[in-house]
Amino acid sequence: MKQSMKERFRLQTTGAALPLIAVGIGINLIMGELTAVVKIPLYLDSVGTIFIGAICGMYAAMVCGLMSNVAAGIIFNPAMIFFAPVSIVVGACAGYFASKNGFSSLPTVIAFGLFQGIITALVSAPISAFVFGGITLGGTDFLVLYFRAIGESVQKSVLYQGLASDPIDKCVSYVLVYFILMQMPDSLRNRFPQSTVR
Amino acid sequence: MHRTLHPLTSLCFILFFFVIALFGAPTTQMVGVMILLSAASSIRKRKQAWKKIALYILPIGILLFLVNSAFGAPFSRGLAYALRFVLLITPLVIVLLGGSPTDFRLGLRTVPIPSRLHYLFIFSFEIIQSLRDVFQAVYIGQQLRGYNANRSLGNKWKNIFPLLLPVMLIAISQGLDRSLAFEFKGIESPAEKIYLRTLTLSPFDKLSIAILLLSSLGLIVASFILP
Amino acid sequence: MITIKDLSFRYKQEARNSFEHISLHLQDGQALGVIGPSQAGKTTFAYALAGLLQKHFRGGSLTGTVIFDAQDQAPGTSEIGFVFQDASLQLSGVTETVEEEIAFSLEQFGVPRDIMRERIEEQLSTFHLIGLRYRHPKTLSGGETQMLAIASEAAKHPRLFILDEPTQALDADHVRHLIDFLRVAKRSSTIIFIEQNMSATFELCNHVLFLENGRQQFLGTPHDLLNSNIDVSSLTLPELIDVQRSLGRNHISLLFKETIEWMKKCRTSA
Repeated sequence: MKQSMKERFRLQTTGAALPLIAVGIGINLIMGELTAVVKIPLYLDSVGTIFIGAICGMYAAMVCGLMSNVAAGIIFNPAMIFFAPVSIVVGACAGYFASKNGFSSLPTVIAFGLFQGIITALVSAPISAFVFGGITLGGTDFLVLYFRAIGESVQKSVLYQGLASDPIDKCVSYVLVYFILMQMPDSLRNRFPQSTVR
Repeated sequence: MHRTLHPLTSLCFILFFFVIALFGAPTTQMVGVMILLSAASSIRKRKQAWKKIALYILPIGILLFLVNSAFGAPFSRGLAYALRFVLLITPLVIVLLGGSPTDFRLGLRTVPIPSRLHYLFIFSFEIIQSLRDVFQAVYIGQQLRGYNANRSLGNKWKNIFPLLLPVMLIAISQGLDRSLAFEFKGIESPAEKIYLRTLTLSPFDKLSIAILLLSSLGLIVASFILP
Repeated sequence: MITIKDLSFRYKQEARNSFEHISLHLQDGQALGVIGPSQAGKTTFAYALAGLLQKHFRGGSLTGTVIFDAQDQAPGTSEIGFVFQDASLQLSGVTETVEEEIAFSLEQFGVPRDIMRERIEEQLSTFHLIGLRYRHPKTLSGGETQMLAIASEAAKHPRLFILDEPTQALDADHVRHLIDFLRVAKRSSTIIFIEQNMSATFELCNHVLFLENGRQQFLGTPHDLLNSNIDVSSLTLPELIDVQRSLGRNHISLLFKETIEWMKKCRTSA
């Protein structure tokens, strides 16, 4: 019997799932501190969302993505709020991927991570172009400027920049989640609300 | 703006400037920026607001103006980008620094969304703090065991694990324990929630919301009618 | 009233049962102390009674029956109070005052506001939290947090009240307040008290269930346990009882006065 969307949404955000979704949000937000310590030039700020997609499901991950960006907007940088749709899409993709048992082999995870990166670039480019005109004071601005300098439009420059940096970021995020799931002891794994992970 | 504002009023305030950024003519947008700047200087934390404007919004605005006026584009295009950016971000800063978290939390209870979602929203701020503590403890612990983050770039990804994995395991196991406790907190209860304290819409809130919504609507209509 | 028949549980991928073949019958107004060394299966047993195992531990196998009342009506979550070992993970995390934290679950269950206020006052005074009423729950000490967690659950007036090692973080005064409260509470609700602190357990509970490696070693009154030939060396007994055992008393008493009388008698006869 197929459950309705509303029903699935309710089931994935029950009182029991809420603390886990909150953990996902927390992980997303402290990844910035972690990458600063490790000095890795990536954001990795959707590890929590992808993880929740794997253990709680698609709708839970979408809520996790949305809330992460709102919280990041309030705590770090208000502009993050405008990128909430991107995180929602990441949550939806991760949840779908997990429901198809995708986290069972590393090559699939890597391939889907790259694919996720392309999707992310496509969704975030219009937002980035509209709100910022491509300038975020981040490390990838020089790419936008380069594309602009060689005569591309704002939209295209931002998209190219996204396509150059997002797939690596998302791919590493997915691989991290894959390894974390592998390392997860059974005593914890048996308590996850959804059994999408073998 | 030293009064208590309902979150819905704040939301309408943000929405209003969003509409100006999207539909307003350049002159309207300039007026909008003026309003924002005067609002920024009348909130409780005005020093912080100005700091944020001076150090974050202004530099990006100027950069946007310069970049978009360069490469042979007309002067007005750079201005449009800069104005739009300021109009989108500044209201958020003002609302964040102008409101108090308590008012926000109490007001959220009267907004018609499922109670477990506004619970989650408030709770996520709580958990970030506790996860930070966990992360700091794990980092110090791993350093004591000889962890070194300054490896060569090729090995950097290996450095993530000794930090990320313990943090995730602790966080998840705490989250699962909380899940058990939450069974008895009644978050799933179908009963109509009755709160000890809430923040309802004051007449000032209602009036502000009406004005903000009507002017937003007016702007949208005007942008289609006027050439 | 609870009747348990041959209850056993095994976690998925575990070699042995967490607890097995537990049968007991508990009347209303009684308190059951669940005692035993750590890893004896006490907490898992409590989860079983509260209905958590089926829902939260996938792949575990639970056999046997638990019957509540004559109608077999298991209490709903609003009727169960459960105090977990780690009190800080039990607080809602979204409240800004002690008062609101106590109100939290009442708010969720839709308790009318006047009753809610009454219950808050009641809990604040029972657990001596009045002075802390407007404090942020995060600023409380470990013992105070534990008391708040207990007060928040007690505010629901639960029919079944399960406490998992509640005295762990408490000082002597707090333990006193808790025991006083539970002695009154057990008139209207069934109490399951899981404890390492034997003097508190023996004072409060009419019955004790002694578990070791998940097996039911003993079920009966504390008095009968101490006077049986069951090996209780894995328990940390109160000094009062240790003294009597080491002096080789045949009939061990839980009463302080009686023991002192006996010791005086020993001295005069010696």
